[in-house]
Amino acid sequence: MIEYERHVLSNGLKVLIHEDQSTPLVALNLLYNVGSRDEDEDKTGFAHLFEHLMFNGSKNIPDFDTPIQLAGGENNAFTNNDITNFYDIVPADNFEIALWLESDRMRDLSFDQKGFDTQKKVVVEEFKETCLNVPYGDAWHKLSSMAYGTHPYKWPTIGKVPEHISDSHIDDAKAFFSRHYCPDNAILVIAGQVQADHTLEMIDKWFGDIPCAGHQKKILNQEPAQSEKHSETVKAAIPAEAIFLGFHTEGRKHDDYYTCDIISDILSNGRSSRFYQRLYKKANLFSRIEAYISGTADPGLFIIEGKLPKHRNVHEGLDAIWKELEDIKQHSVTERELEKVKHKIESSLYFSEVSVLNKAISLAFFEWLGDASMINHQADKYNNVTTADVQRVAQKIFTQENCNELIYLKEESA
Amino acid sequence: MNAVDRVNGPRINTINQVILPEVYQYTLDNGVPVYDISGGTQDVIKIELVFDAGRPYEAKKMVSKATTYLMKEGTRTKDSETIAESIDFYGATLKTSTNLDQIKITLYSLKKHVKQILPIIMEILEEAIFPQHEIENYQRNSIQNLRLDLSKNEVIAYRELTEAIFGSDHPYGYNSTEALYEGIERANLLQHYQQNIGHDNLTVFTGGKIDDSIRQVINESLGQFKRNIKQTLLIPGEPSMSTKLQLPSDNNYQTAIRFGRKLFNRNHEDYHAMYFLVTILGGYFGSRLMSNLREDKGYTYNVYAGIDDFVHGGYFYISADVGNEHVANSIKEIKSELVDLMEKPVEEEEMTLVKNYLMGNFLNMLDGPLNQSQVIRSLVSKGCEVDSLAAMIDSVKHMDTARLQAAAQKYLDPDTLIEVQVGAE
Repeated sequence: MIEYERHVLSNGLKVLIHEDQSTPLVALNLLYNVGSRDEDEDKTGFAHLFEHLMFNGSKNIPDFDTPIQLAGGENNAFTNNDITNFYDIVPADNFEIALWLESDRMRDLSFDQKGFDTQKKVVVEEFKETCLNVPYGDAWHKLSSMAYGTHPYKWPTIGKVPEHISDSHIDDAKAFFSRHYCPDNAILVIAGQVQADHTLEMIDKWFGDIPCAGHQKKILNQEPAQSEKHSETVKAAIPAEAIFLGFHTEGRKHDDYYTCDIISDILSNGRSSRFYQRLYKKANLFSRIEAYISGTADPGLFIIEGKLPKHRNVHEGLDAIWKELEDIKQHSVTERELEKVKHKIESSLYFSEVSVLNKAISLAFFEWLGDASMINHQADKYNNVTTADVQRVAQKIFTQENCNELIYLKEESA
Repeated sequence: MNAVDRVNGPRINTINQVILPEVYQYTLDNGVPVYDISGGTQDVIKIELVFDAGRPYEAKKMVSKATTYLMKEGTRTKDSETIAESIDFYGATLKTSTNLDQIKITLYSLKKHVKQILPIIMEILEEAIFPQHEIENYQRNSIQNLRLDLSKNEVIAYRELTEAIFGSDHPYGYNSTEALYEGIERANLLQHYQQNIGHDNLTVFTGGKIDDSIRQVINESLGQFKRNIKQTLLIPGEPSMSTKLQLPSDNNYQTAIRFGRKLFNRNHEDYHAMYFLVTILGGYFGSRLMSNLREDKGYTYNVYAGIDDFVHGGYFYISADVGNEHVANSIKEIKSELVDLMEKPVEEEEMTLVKNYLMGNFLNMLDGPLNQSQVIRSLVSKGCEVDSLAAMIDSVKHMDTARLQAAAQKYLDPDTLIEVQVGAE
């Protein structure tokens, strides 16, 4: 049970405070309600580029990182389809430094042309390192654009193409900042060795005078149900042939999300999972195979990803995967398998709550989803899933019409 | 109510003290030493078994890694799937791994299930049988994974660098190959297991909600394990020579750049100075290499310098994956940062920054019993005493610029480093 206090400042900033006196540290997590889904289709990758710009200094602080390092702290950030999330972890004595830094950049970020140009180059190198210079690095680009026709999940957070990043203009950044980086579009969580009432006063001192921007959330076009199978085959210089399947699922708040997570664990979490034992170890149809869910707030994807050994072809691989999916659709899973997966989830929830930073990130995320108290109901949500739910959801999502299939074949060498 | 001074910000307090973990040291019935750190808010437990049984003790290359993986793939009474399922069923994670020097078995479990899992670990220690079909499976999958790995510039660069530093027959230098995997025989594994997995080269590390009931079940199982080891340690000495290796690759957008040289283990007199110096150079976000290559010039997403240390040695490295058009300039900047550390003493301001950063880093590394257990395991298994942690923290607090400059002149001269490039020709 994670206890916390919740407050809303007069400028709309939502604040959650969780005391944990067992650690000498304090974690600050600041979530902004903006992700790549808020981008224009011809200017993608911008939310993530903007995350980089947030470290270029603000009105009173020329460089974000130096004071936090001087205070003995660490900081970082991540961006995904839905949110941009910044966090700092500092010794309790120096916790106020993090409030100063985060409030100054929310209030008045600096926009300097050289810093902007450098970060564009850094992000283009990141694009190359993660998507262009590695085998299958473009898989997520291809799969998301195949699965989504309408919803902005159709481009990845890194952006559609590097040119969208290198062509962006500093005025775009200024407009993006005033639109999205305001207190009424953010959630601040403090967790660790603090006293809640004193902490609230300090938060009000640093954040209270930042004006509310009257943020209006864009209404997104929801993805209509897919009515036929999508398929693409790519020929590329790759070390092994590969299969990626993506099936549409419900969103993060739907009860079926938990069932999907359980199905993905039954298929591929741990060495006793079905894919590992049957497809990897016994049949050696795959040299690597896993199943996971994209975990987005709006309806996401259930993904299966497999690499084939030299002596196997993609047809054998696809047949084997579908046979496993049909097995669950027809017979569900055993009670013992379901219990096993629930034990694993219980364990990972316990272990994730060891870290004060994890707790801060999770509290902010659930508050963003609509209710921070969901953090204390996750175990129940998973425990409520039955073998009948597993079968029902499998029957619903594992169909040809709902499937997006991406195949990598080896390019014939000249 | 205090006025808000946004220009100067709140006062930064120097971190003078790091609270050290309270380690309870005791021995089991069979004499196996235990380093026990109890505490935390969650009912979770980590138990780690460390055997001095890695590459330095191998009779044949790759055998320690294969033994590590395969010892949990079949015992006298249980097959691989049964073992995996009985651990997964309790929601626990059991990993076997090797860090070159040692074979480790690590269990993460909720406290309530530890009693059920320890007997399975005992079976793995006492009755592994290394079934032939599992060995073939392992060989096949390892070869497939090796092929996937060798399609990445970073993997090739790492292999080339460590081989050049230590030599291709050194336990820390040789690389896996398809032929080495194919050459593994069941007799090699049984021999490695019987001669190197014993109670007299085992150390146990526990962390989390440990209490006497847990200590008792550990003693009833691990404390009764008896097997005498018969080991031969083999560490050839070979100096690393400065050399430049340039390899082509199919991945045409970026080039992997690596620099490195042989160093020493943690007990060496220059270890603390090098630890501090390498942090300044490339060990944190504000480091000189990150500020220069990434934040000022945008040549790379990430550049890093670090030390990997083992029981019988160690090495220093720099790594960066850069756009092909930035290769020459990146190398020039890396070399100029190295020369700068040799020629000029580090300014006081940067000394304070890095000291505070490292002190905060110690606080982070030592947050909670699971992290503390990891730090203590890492020290003890590398031949250091528990109190060397206090010495290390003290040394960071009192580091001086003369020691750093001397270390830079001794170890960071770019002309003495090995250089590797993998990418476009």
